Amino acid sequence: MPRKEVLRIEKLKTHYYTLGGIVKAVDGVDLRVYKGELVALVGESGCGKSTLAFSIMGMVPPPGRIVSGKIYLSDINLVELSDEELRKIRWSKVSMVFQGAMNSLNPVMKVGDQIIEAMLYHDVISRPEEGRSTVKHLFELVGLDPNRIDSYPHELSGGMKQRVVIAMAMALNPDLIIADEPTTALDVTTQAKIMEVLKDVQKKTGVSILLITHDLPLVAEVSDRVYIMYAGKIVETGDVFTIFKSPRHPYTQGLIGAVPSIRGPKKKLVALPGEPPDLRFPPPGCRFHPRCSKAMDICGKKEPPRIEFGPDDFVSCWLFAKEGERK
Amino acid sequence: MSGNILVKAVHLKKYYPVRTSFLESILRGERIFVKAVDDVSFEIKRKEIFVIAGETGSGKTTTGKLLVGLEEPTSGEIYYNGEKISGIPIKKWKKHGLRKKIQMIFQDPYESLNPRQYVFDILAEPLIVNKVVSSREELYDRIMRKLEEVKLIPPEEFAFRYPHELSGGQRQRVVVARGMILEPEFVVADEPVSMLDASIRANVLDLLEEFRSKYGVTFLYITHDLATARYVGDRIAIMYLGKFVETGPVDEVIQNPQHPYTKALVSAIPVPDPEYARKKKRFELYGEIPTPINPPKGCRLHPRCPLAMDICSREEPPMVKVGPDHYASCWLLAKR
Ligand SMILES: Nc1ncnc2c1ncn2[C@@H]1O[C@H](COP(=O)(O)OP(=O)(O)OP(=O)(O)O)[C@@H](O)[C@H]1O
Ligand SMILES: Nc1ncnc2c1ncn2[C@@H]1O[C@H](COP(=O)(O)OP(=O)(O)OP(=O)(O)O)[C@@H](O)[C@H]1O
Ligand SMILES: [Mg+2]
Ligand SMILES: [Mg+2]
Repeated sequence: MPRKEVLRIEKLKTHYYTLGGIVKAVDGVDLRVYKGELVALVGESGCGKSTLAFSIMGMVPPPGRIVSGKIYLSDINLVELSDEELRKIRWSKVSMVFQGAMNSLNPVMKVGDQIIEAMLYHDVISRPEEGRSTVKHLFELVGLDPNRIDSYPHELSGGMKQRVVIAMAMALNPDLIIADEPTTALDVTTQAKIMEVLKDVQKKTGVSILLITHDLPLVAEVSDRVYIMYAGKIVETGDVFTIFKSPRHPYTQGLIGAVPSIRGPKKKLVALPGEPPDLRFPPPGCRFHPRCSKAMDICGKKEPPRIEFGPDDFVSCWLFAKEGERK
Repeated sequence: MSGNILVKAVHLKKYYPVRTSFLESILRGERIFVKAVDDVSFEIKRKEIFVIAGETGSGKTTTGKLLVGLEEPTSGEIYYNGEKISGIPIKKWKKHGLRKKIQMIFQDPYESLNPRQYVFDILAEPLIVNKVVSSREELYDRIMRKLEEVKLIPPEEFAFRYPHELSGGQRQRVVVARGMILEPEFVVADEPVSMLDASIRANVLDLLEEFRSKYGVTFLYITHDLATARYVGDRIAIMYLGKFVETGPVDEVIQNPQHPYTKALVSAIPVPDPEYARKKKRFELYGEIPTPINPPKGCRLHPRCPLAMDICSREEPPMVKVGPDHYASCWLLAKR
């Protein structure tokens, strides 16, 4: 049986039109999420992960905008919707845990009321009283004491606040949650618990999760499939086992080689040379070629083709192109 | 002489008073303190990279600041090269020749570099203030050499840039260069790579190793990341709420943790191996790390520890030897 597609992104470009030049933050991205999956989008700081998320939410901040491409959320192309239509879909079909969200909870409002307010706004409930029992259920779902709905943010620990934020994202029972670095500011023991909460919520509700992170070991632990993003482009995708056991793209290989592990023999860490490019002036050809130890002549001249190995399984790299195509 | 030991801390404590209302302090009948560092003793050997690891608020940075004289201990002593240095006010450090020998590298390259200074001036300042150069040429040479050593090459190109004209990784190299410019003997490196992406972290960590092997620098490496600790460190101390709960050779502590807190910490760390990750059993604690204001009595971990016994809530556990050079403080390990 074919899996049900929850999100399909095609050739998406989102650029920021700054005075200093056009930042090509998302530059031709294809990505898919199926029902009940946890898909990870991984890449280094500034490669365009949050911009991609904002694009899906229809919330790209100026001077940025979606330049071209399609974003299908169960057959509806979000790029063509009006603001009003988007508003209805946002949070009820797709919601987001924003990077650093737990620190932007309203400090003078009880956390339960903040969720109730969102539900009122989206006509999920008509009176605040109706919301209380729903919010209590949501709190239980994320492992919070339901009595905490009357707490203020400062009365909660970092981990508890992050649970509130996840509860909020689940409030309208969306098909997809985008979680942008949901554990970055948290300690490892708390991080492990929050990831368990997300997995648990997923098991109970069947929600799909797009996890955005730069933390590769975390990705190995929790995700089903992985997209590797570099300088605005997806350079490789595959299931989590393939990505970690037999990465194809030199960038993916480099990332994995640079990550220390607490397990197994202590291998020598090999850092990638150089640093990611300025997205206003990305290098020609393959954007990774200046840092790539396997770069060939063509890599600096022409953008690499996408080599498909199966559905949702591809690499964009000249090394995998047929001999005759490399010119 | 102190032989092989460069730095020694004995029963080190740092308590910060908590500001409370007059009424509250009367009600409580006592002043309240954050016990940031609460009776910590350790020795750092020459040319060693000693690691202090722990979660937020455990007291790592405070310990580092005590060693470099940025904070004065509430009680306890610090010895450097056999000489007692706790009690010497920071103003007199220069006179005692300590200023040049002991340096600290801070965690946040965005905050710790003056945005209006050229890289050159950032590096020149400590050299001039400490009067270690006698001519412009010498100043210039030393700065260029240091930039080269931290792999900002060619150095002339980086010397006359502002911090915002550098990438995150380059900025962190400048921070390292500044920490090293006086050619110190002992350096406290507080989370030097936690703001950096994984792909460039290894490069900066390699710098520490290079300074150690080239100049024999001794390091205290502070981190919350056991995985990087394993790559740079020789010995490690695991800190929880102001106390060391376990110390030993880095690999031994990580592969064979004895204290329940260390076990929980190690088992929470994601491993970049999807197959292993799906099989691994996690050892979990209850709740989250509390604040070090009024920490729990007895063993500080006991309210969170699934293995806690009666005694744990009453009496503080002793540090016991659990292997060669490996110690942990837990009642489960102590002979009673
Ligand atoms: N409002 C903006 N105006 C101009 N440029 C922007 C804006 N927001 C982001 N950018 C640029 O777009 C690029 C992608 O940024 P984005 O925040 O999407 O990266 P990211 O992958 O989420 O990074 P991080 O891991 O640091 O969160 C970066 O080069 C960034 O500087
Ligand atoms: N100047 C100060 N005044 C009052 N309390 C302080 C001060 N500096 C630190 N503290 C408190 O002491 C405790 C230990 O802080 P410290 O910065 O040493 O922790 P840390 O282990 O470095 O944490 P992190 O991993 O977050 O950097 C914390 O509870 C902190 O709030
Ligand atoms: Mg981001
Ligand atoms: Mg600190």
